[in-house]
Amino acid sequence: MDGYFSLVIFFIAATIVGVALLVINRLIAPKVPDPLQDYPYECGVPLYDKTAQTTLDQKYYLLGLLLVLFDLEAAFVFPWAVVYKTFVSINAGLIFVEMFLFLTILIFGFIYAWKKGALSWQ
Amino acid sequence: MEELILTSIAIGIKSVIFIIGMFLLAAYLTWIERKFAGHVQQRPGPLHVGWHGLLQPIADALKVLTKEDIVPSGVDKVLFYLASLLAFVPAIMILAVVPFGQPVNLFGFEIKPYITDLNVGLILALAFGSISIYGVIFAGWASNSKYPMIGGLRKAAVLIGYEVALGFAMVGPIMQAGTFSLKGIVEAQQGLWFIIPNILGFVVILFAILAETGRTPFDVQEAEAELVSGYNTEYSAMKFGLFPLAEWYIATFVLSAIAVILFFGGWNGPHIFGPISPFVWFFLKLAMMFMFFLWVHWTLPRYRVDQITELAWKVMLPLSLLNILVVAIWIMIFG
Amino acid sequence: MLWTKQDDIAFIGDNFESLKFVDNEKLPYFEINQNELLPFLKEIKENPNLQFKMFIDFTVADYPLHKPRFQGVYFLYSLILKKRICIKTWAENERLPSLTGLWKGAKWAEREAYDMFGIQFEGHENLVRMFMWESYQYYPLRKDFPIEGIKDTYLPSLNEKPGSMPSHDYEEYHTAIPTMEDLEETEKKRIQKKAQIVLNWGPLHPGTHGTIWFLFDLEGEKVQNCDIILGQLHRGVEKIAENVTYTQFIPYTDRMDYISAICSNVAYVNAVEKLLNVEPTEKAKWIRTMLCELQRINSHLLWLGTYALDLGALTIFLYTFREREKIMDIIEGIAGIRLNSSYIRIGGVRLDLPEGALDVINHFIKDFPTKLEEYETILTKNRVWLKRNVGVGIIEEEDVYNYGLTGAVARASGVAYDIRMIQPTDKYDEVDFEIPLGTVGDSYDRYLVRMEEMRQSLNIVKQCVEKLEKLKDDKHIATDNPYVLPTLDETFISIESMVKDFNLRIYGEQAPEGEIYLSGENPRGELGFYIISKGEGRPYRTRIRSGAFYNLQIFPELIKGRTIADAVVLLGSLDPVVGETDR
Repeated sequence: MDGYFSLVIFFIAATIVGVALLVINRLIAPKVPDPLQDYPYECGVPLYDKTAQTTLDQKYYLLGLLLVLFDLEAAFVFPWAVVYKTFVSINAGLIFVEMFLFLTILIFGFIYAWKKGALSWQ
Repeated sequence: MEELILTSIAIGIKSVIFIIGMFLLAAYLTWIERKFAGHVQQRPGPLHVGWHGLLQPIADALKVLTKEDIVPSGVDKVLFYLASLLAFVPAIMILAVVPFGQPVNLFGFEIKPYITDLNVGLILALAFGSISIYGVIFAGWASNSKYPMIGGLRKAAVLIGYEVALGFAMVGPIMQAGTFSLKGIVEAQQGLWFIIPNILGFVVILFAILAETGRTPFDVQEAEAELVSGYNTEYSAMKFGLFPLAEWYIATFVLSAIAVILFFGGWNGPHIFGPISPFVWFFLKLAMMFMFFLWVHWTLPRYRVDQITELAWKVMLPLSLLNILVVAIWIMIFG
Repeated sequence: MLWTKQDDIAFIGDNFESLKFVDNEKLPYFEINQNELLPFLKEIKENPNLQFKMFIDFTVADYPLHKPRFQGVYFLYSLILKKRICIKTWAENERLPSLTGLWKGAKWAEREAYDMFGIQFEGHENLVRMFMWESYQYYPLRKDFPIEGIKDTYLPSLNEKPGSMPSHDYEEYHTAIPTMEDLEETEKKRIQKKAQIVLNWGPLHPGTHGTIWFLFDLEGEKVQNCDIILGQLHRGVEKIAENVTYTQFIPYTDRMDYISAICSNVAYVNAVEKLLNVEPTEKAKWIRTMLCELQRINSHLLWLGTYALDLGALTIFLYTFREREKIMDIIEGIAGIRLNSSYIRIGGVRLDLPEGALDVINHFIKDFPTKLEEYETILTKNRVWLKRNVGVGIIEEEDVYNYGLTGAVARASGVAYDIRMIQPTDKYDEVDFEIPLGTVGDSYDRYLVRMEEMRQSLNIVKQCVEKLEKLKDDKHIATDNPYVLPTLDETFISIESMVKDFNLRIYGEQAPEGEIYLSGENPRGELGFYIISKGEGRPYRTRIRSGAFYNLQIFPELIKGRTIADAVVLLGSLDPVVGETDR
């Protein structure tokens, strides 16, 4: 518990330093108002669309879904990895085959996704 | 209760020392990078502010701190400020779990050269590294301008590409050390460094660090020839300054440290520098690692964003899975 | 002779009643009525024995006293005859048929004619202004438009200086400048938003190499539609040319393609010399050839550096500038000025080669190949470089003809179109060199072609230096000719030279009446000068056929369906220079 407590303190300290930098900047920086100062940067020409917060169709939606799936699998692999070394001396075959069965299924899924073209941008 | 407050104050002081130290270090990492780039490009780099430009980082910091703080109209103000904090704080949070050496006894006190040693240290580092990227994505959305928008979305694509490969590549060293604690991982490398069976995992992690810190060939989020300055186009003054500080220096530095811990035995090395030799070894390895990233950055052209995700999924992920197999067999044979 | 004559197309001549051949010595041309123009062009384009497939240029000349007032002039190139053809037609009612159905390359040239002369083109897909903004009312290249412009806009603020009273010659009216609203109207007219957002790459964008304004209609990162707005660097060079003498115009050619100034100088001066029947001295010709090739290396080095910089390879930029600096120093030593040297004069060059110049160049020739290898080591086989370049922006051979692409862009697509071979000027017929050709026509081929061109240029420089070492004592300028300005020494020594100098400087070179079209092989393609002389000291009309202008035209076509990241690759590999596209 002590370790996490330090982490929280460190987090607070880091946030304070970050906020302090922004605040100091805001306090000591000069203010020279200009009519076009708050115009969004558009390389010196008028805006074509007034806002940029619209739908922008990036073609990696399927990749995003795959990321969620695979990251979950990674979470299953981690605990296995921690105990692997101790278990290997007890029953090497079991712990090896067990995880590689799991990974083989994972790899089949991966190959399926690859073949379906989910790994490239549509 | 009193004890708790005292401990808090002690840890707080230590934290601030770490953060300020990291700041100074990051400032001088900019100097190192600029000198390095200068000599790569056959020019001297910073030369005029101080001896060989040694005061240049201070001048830069003052300049960034005293620049006008411009907030364009139409931005999401809360997110706009939050984004630069969100890039900076998690990046520096990784530092909390990085051990720079073993505890040393000084004047009767035990001084630990790390903030905390957790048994989930590596996972925390991984998590903070990913959260740091959200700063970039938020900055892109909050700016309400087209170049940041595209830049932020590109960074999200890079994140999607490398997150999985990074996770699987870290499995190898964990298997060998049997713990997530970074200190434990270093201690497990008294004999052979983990680079030996984990060479594939190391390659994947190199690429992943380049991608996560946004260095060439993966700097698509701020490709200046395409997106002007990418996600930070609308940023100015200190809230701009935090981005390169967090991404290029702090994140590169701490992730290099983690790579050194995972594969190059951390502070392990022959005791030829007396009592400080663990620190010397650690920083020597760290500097080599950092220089390697600089070298790549100043040499290669950049990939297109769809090529990056393809590389990540089609090359890096299979490599990292293969790495697990190699390490599993290695442990079965050599124990 | 490079020009098509009556005999060459005699077998189709009977079909067109109004076809007339005028056999000028310098520029023989055909004249045809407007209603027969399109069938005639279609015939000579598609006839297998003629194949005038390649579009070179289209322009308009203004004759205010003639009825109809405007004359359109077309230049085409035949692949079989290896000859050009010049066709003229009068624009009845200020209208001409559009050629865009036959050659896509005519699109911008016609827009330019509409912008500058106000001629309507029937059948043009989107006839909008080329250089000026949409709400501009005048047509600047018409003869009744004064060179200082029409001062019709109330802009008192332009005269205000902080802290001082307005001066007595306070002018409240100025020539029009575009406002934000004008620019918005212009951009809305160029492109209709169909996809998700329209991304601007305005003149302040770091990736555009100057002041081009791109509009990308984006769906995600995919470009669905693209258009280019030119004119941010438009200085009306063609208008200026009508108002200065032939010699005075030389510095303006520097400032068109400022990266390869000497090549532009040489192309212009060669055209004027041919018009005036001036023959430069042997030595001058060799110096010109040598400097042109040095300038070509210089220009390609800048291209390589910025191209790699755009793709993220930051270091190679400084490596190329290191070599470029050496060439700049050589040019400075010879011409006195680094960038816009204006070194070429009618009849020769301004100054003789200084002592030791050839030694320096010799040293450079020895040194440069190793450096070139260094660049190739970094890039040519680099996996990232290959991934970004191979297969991007493939230009078919047909498109080269269709769009009138020239220079390295055409040669990378396998079209051996090089003015140095087709119509050698100076000493290009006496030096030995090869034309590198690409096979696929993608960005990577264009990169390879330009790299090889640097080697070939170096080879030419080597031959020139060998020749020049034998010509040490020759004259560098043919001052005997009545059209050639005397050197400074001669002006001070003899009164005749002084009078000649005075006359030429004040009244200009009284060129004989006639026309000329002559082009040079610039690093960015064919730079052609079409000069009409009415026997005065100033040209009546000068049309500049810019290679970069035509090369850039294919960009919107190539980028469609590709991502925004490929735009920098394409733009870099097409290598336009805005000074030349805008003129």
